[in-house]
Amino acid sequence: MKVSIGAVVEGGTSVNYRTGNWREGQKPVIDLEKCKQCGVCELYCPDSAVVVKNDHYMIDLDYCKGCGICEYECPADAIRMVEEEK
Amino acid sequence: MDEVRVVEGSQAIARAVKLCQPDVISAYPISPQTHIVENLAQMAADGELKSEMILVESEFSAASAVTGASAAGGRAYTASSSQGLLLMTEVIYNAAGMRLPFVITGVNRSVSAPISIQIDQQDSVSLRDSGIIQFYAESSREAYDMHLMAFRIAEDPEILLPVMVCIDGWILTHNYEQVVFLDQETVDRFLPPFKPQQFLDIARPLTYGSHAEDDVLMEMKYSIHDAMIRAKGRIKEIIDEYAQLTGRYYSGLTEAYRTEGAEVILLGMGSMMGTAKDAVDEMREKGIPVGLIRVLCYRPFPYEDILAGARGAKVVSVMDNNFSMGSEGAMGMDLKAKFCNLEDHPLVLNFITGLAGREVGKETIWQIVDRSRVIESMGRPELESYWVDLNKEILPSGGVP
Repeated sequence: MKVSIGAVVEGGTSVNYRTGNWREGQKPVIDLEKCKQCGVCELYCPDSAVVVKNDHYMIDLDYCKGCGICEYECPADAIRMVEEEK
Repeated sequence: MDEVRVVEGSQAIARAVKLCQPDVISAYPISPQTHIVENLAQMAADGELKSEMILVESEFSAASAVTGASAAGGRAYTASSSQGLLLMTEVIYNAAGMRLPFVITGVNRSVSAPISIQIDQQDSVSLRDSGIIQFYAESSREAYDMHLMAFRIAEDPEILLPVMVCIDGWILTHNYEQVVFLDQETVDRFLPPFKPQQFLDIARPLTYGSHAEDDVLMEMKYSIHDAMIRAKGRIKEIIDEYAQLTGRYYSGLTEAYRTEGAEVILLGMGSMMGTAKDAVDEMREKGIPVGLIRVLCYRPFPYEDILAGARGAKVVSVMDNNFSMGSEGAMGMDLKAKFCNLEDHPLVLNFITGLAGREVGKETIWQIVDRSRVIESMGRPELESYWVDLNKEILPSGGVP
């Protein structure tokens, strides 16, 4: 393997890295009954791991690092960090 | 036709940058850099300059904007001073690592605290390890020529690194001096449009600044160093090409002045070396065997040229306009490091001069030379560095050695 000048490589390489596997201990779970669809969790998530799927917000666990900011910020108290088994 | 004008140093630099026609200019105002970008903004407002001017809220953003512009394949330029250059530091390491060839004017100014807007080279010297090529001008007309060469050097396919042209704040930026301006046609012959081999393109995405670990990071860092070392030869060729085209000759990465038969060699960079040349002339008239080597290019460090010029001398007195806290002046360290494994080399002394614009006059140079000869006659120095004109009486500690 040779490295290019400036280590410039093909685009989109971040897709290959599922940084969700850095998560340790807890993962967020959205209670869809309580969720008001305000989108605050999506705005605050530092990893853009809150996504819209099937017309509601959900957590993309491939990229969620388990920081818990969404739980802290949710004004409807609809997100809970729960223990997860690796 | 060449045009002869007496202009402020800042305007000379702005006119050089204009001739290089950057695609993007981004900067944040800070004294004493301000007039350069002010002049460029005026040219853009008057329609004489086609560059896109990106207004930003900090030097971090200015450096980031030119990094982005350069990665997108554009020719880019910024300028800063002091704290502004320090705020750019993180970005400059990145730009050098991604091999993005923009040009910065580093207008030298002291670094806080205490705050001062006066000149020393602490700001740009603090960037010496980052991978940016550094030039230091002695005069405004040299700064003008160096900017024209800087883009060519940065964009050379064998180099591809950011280049910083450093000039002493106020002393050069705000000084009026005769400059002979080149015309666009001449500059175009010397500096062709920037044609990068790789650049960001929506149709052909690339990743810049990707993750690397121990399997390649050392190789990537080594390759920046390797490009710097190779640049020494290329820079000399480019300087020669510039000389053939314009009739303006620069001796290379260093300038040797009256070094023949010199027992004491003064080494330094920037505008104080002009004063030092006058002092050397005075001393030579009185029969004192002293000469001078001026460093035009500090990184890559041209130690081979310094060695060649200082070979027969008894002592090289390095005048550092900066200081590495807890050690000594940066160029003093550089030279001692390069000399220490040689069998036979001159004694190296380190003098700290002119911080925050403290006057470096001819009498200062006389004092340094006198002291150097005394220390040399005694054998070796008592101190690693001598702070010139240090007023020990006002030190809170009551005086250090």
